[in-house]
Amino acid sequence: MDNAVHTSGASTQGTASGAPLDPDHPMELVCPAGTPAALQTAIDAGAHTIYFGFRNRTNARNFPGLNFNEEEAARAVETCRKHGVKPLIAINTYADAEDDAIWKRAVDCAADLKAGGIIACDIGLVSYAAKTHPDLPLHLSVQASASNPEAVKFYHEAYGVRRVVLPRVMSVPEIAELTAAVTPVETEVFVFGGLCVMAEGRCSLSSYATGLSPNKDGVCSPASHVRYEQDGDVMVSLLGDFTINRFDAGETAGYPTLCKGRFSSDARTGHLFEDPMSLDATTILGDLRKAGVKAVKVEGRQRGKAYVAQVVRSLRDAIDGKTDASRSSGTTHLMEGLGHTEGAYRRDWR
Amino acid sequence: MADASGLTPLILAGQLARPIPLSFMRRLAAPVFRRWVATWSGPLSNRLCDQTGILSIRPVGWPLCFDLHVGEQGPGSVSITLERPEDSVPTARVTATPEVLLKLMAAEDGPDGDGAFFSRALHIEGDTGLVMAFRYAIEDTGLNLHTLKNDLPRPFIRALEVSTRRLEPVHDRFSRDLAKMQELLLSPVRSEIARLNTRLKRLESAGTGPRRAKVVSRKELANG
Ligand code: SF4
Repeated sequence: MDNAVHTSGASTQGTASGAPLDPDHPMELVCPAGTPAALQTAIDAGAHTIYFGFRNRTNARNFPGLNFNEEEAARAVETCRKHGVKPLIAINTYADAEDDAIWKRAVDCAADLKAGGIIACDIGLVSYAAKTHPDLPLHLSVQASASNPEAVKFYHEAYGVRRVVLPRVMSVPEIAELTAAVTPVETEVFVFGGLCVMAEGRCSLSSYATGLSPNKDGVCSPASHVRYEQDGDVMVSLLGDFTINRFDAGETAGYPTLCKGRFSSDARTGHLFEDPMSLDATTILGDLRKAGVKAVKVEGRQRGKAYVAQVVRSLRDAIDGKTDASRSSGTTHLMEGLGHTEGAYRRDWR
Repeated sequence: MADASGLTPLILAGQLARPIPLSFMRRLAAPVFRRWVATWSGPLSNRLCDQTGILSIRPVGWPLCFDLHVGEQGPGSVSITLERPEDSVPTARVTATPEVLLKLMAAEDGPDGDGAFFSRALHIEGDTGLVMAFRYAIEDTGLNLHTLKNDLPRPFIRALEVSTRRLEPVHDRFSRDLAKMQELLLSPVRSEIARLNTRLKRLESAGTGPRRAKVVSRKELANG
């Protein structure tokens, strides 16, 4: 992966400060955009790279009113280029067995637009992209759940995958070991946003509850099945026929993502799948850099401009050494859940 | 962000406006809404074209709500009406204090609706998809209080700016006074609740001691 994005990004108005990145610390900041307005916000806040998706099932944030049509995607790529920012297009769901036309169309469109690359997980689609558009850089999505050297090397050798986004279940030493073993493939890790605890790309909770899944339909716990009900001061969140949570008065609320609900089992009652925290790995950026990680990623294409502006600015400042990265980013108010965690990187999150 | 509970100056103002007839308010708002719809419905439709329904925006304590009719006159169309909350039958409802709604709409970075929702300052009920699509639409088009204000007739803008400047400090002072007053009034109730809670916990812990096995007679067993 070329590093031009760092230098060109830093020399234009598209960065927070206009100051060049420290060449010794070339960690790339990969930021989400759900709308053209959010894309501009991410550029202004200092993103090196921005990822977005089309308005259909080909990406894992297929939310109502979100994402880019082909015209908007073309303008987005152009805007990114103008500001020295690398545009990536997420095509990170699994194609239908009987008809993969929209997935192939998405790949062709990304290639036609000369996007900086695609983020894909479906092995058939990765193969199609490699064969049909050999110049289109390929990033392996977190949805592919490649977490061992053999898997990553396979994608590299067979299809020329240049970068792998690692699942959010690995510790820093595991990341360091993997990164060293898969050179020249670059590794990218999530450092901020919602956590997905399952072996990513393989979770069927949402499918079970709603018939729609992040892997096939681009939606985990889809809005079409979400209902909130007020029961006096208590807010009840429901997904399809399931009650996912009850929030008492004064308790912070959250979206009824299935794995973040409170349930009763024979053994216990509470958050059975995972602690409902958001990831903030700002404090371990240095460790990730030492582990050889090439790029750090922000989750949240579904989030608004306020989130994008504050999170991207704060991480960019930390990466550039302008703020003390040993402290958390001060963006807790933007997080969903009961607080923030360094996730599996430090193994203090369940 | 303030919780949706508790009194605020704008909630009180809404209560005071209760006697004003809805028909009068509607007549007053009609030219403004016409202008807004003419300017914004086109750009908004891009992200609302798959949606239909009525999204009701409800400032807590106000005798009226703003109902946005999406897709009624064709895909992506948007119109707005003033309604009495008790008469409106929406597909989705967004409720918050008038202060929270104004703050969200005033943010030039776009409303951090998620933050307000997580902190419980904003409540959503009904069709969540419609609420999300509307939120993306207003953010992407840059619709906020400032841009809405600029669509008003000039003398209106001037009057609004002058009154906002004058009323803002009054509102802030009044908010502080109200908060103090509510604290004073509620603190005895809070202490009583805390006392009852402690008692309840004590009773609960007393009740969880080892249970002695009860000897059950044959007759009792036969009677279930
Ligand atoms: S339910 Fe949770 S673990 Fe499963 S896909 Fe959704 S966010 Fe990920």
